[in-house]
Amino acid sequence: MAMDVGEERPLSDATAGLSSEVLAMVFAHLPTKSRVLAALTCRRWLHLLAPSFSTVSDLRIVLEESSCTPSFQVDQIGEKLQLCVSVCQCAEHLASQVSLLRALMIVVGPSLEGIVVDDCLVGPNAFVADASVHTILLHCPPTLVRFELHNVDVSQLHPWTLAQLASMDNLRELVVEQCAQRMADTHPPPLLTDIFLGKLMSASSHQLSQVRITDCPLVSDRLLNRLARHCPNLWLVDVSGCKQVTAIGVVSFCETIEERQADTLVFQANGAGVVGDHLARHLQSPYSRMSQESRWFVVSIDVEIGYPKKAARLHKQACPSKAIIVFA
Amino acid sequence: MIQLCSNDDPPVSFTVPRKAVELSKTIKTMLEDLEGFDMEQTPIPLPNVDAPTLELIVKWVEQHQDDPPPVEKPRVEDDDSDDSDADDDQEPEVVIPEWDKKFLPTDDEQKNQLFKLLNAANYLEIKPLLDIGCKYVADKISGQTVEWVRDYLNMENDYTPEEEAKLKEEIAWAEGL
Repeated sequence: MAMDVGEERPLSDATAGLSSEVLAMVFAHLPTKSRVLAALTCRRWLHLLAPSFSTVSDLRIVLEESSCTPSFQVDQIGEKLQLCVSVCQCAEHLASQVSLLRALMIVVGPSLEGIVVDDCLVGPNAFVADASVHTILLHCPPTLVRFELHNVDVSQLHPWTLAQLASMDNLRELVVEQCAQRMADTHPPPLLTDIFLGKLMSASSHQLSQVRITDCPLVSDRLLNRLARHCPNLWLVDVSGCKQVTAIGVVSFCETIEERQADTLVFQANGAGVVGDHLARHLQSPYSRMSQESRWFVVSIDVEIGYPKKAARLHKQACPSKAIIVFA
Repeated sequence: MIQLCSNDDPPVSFTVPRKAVELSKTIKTMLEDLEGFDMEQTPIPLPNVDAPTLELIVKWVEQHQDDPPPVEKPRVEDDDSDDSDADDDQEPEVVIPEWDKKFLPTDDEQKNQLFKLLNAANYLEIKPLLDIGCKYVADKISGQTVEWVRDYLNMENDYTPEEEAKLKEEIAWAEGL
């Protein structure tokens, strides 16, 4: 049952209550929290209240067991507002909770630039419900710039739920951080694979500037090859903890270094399968195609990030202005 | 003196000092537009206002006709400390004066009269009256359950029965918000 903001219906009997104009003035005297609540009560209110949420640009949804009664927090960041909503995923509250998310998305959705889903559930059967994520993505504007999943166990998510991301062609940042999923020969098969993640990013590949997919056991060099070829605006790739990622994945970015818009690409691969030694051999071996085209330099550097951190700076003689910094 | 007529049949007319009636921006503008006509002799019909509501309006403007004109946030100054809680409300904190507290029809059986008064104040553009009225209603509904608020504001007919049933369930759950 879709609930729209809908057209404002005129009052049949003007004496039955306050006119919409006056009601809007009453709402102006309410604190934000009461306004969110009021927006949930009826369609006409939702319609009236929508403008007061038009500056919410970031929505952060925190999933936690203790939030059976949802809580709201609004933070002002410069001109923009971040709305943080904590909800539970208990089976008995799920329907109400999804309704809340739907109402919220109708109100704040159109102006959203970024959505963060942060999973703080700890129980043994603590999975984010498909309906929750489905509702959020369904009401996302096509102009969404940032989508982040943190610690979300995606085992319960249907492919078509996340596939809604594939129609968003303005994504600049995609974060899938430490997201667990059921593995191996279960049905349905695991979701976060090279092919599926690649499809999610296909529409926005020309816009993407940051991709962080960490601790994902099924992500391999194949996805990186795809990103390297299709995403010229990338300046950050983080595949830390993805064991299947090897030096070959980095080599894909070396092959396409001239197409990159940014001068420096930062490649984070802490705890992934990238071995610095292999990387140098791939780039500098007299038998590799890369080294036949141009000479490659692999320089060990210390990057100061509060403490000196070892990294490798890769650049090629024919294109000295562009570099790849690899943390492994 | 200016004559104002209610929308009743037959109309009830009130005679109000011009200074008082000009607290209504709508009427003030109209009087300015009709400068040169003898407005003292021409009753002004108010198609959206009935006699009991008009009586209240007249009472209010007569009481407030000597108020200083509302400059920027005149009421906030005396009560700055109240404003310190970091609400993202753009509206300045409105303080309802004692006389107005007694004046507003605040008994629950009079709530429809209050709503009519506010709708009329909006139509007539009497901003100070509108401000205190809206503030009163906001205070009244703030912290109440959704169901109570909908009942108070006569708002229950906005949903299909199907949606309404679903909503009931949501409201029951959201009450503790």
